[in-house]
Amino acid sequence: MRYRKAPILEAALEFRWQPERPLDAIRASAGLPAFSDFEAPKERKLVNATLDLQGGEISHESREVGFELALKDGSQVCILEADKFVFVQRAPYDQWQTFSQRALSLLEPVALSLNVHEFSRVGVRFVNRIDIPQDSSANVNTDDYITVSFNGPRTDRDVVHEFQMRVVKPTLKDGISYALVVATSGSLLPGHSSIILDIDVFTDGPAPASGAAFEKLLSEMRDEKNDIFHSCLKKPAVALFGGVEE
Amino acid sequence: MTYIDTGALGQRTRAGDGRSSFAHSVVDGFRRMISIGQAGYLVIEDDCTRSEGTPRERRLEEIQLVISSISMHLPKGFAVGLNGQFANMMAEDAWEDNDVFPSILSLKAFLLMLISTHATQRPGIGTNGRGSITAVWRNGENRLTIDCLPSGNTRWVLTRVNANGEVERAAAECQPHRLSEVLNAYGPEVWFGQ
Repeated sequence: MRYRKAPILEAALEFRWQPERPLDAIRASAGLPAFSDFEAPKERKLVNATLDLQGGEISHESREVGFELALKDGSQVCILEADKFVFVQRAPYDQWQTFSQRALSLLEPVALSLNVHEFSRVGVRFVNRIDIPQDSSANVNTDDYITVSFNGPRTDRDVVHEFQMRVVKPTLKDGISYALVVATSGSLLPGHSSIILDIDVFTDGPAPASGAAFEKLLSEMRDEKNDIFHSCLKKPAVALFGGVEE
Repeated sequence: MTYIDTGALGQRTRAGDGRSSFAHSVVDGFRRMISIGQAGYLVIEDDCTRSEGTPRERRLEEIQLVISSISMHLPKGFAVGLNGQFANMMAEDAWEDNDVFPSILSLKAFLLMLISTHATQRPGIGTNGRGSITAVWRNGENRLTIDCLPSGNTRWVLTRVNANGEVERAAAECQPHRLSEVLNAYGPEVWFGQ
């Protein structure tokens, strides 16, 4: 099932490993033929700045930590660092099969070249933004659209102006947890307000890097992600997604 | 019982603006630590992982990110096509060094214009080198050019052959959300499709 106007801003698969691989090996991986349709790799740098207020001194240092590759149209981004590979699909998102196959076709040669047989963490992350038309004379009541709501100690007066929540919690599946961020947000569209649903399903421990067990794990994580997403939504939110495509 | 642990991932999520990129807000692992040191020292440390890139590449990435983030409100295939067009327009060998990059306000006006007019035909795009984005539709002798300005306004000029074969010309400036209404007198479906 896929929505005509799926609210997915970004979908990402992240695979981490230990121990860290040397930067030269990461550089060689970024040059593999699998990445031939990407633009040239750009270096990624970790910048650390320190401000000593009492001494009135500012110091900074930077070091190269990996590479980022993007398609010319910016629709797909790969990040390769000493301890991880990340594949990002930006909107528009098509469907899981296309997305996951593309990610795995890029991951496999990387894992092979870096001799990775086990992942220390696997993450399936989807960032969604639900754009809600807003009548100029009325506020948007988020309770009409999502099942997550503010239940604070006081009611005071007027409506909630901003809402942000982040929770990290194990699922019912052994070894799989999730981080869920729910937040209200302004919208690029005039006359709209938005709700962000940011769902990151991840493994708590080591995971196989290939084979049937790995595929089963990814499938389970995807199912968890979908279930969390739909559990957060009420019918008026789903109605904003333009119906379902066959 | 609910257990909340924001430290398990060692990363902070910045989903609040609705346009945050996974690659930039999460994978980059933006971390801020404020610690009070001995004898009142206050040390602030920022760790931020960024990819290298020229200002032109960064602006193109920003433009593509905004277009992508609104793709669900555009006709199918529009966002990918537009992102390719911007990539070509801002390619290293095509871009004039002295030109000002298209501004984000111009881009927002451009996208609002597309949404407001319900265009199903993708326009050709260009820039005047002063931060604007120009959208062009042409169908035979019928031409429509809309400049999306850094002010957030649009300025348009058109040539339209009417039902009697007479050539009409018009030009004006208006807010992007008004375009559909303003252009309606000229049978805009010849440019925008049905």
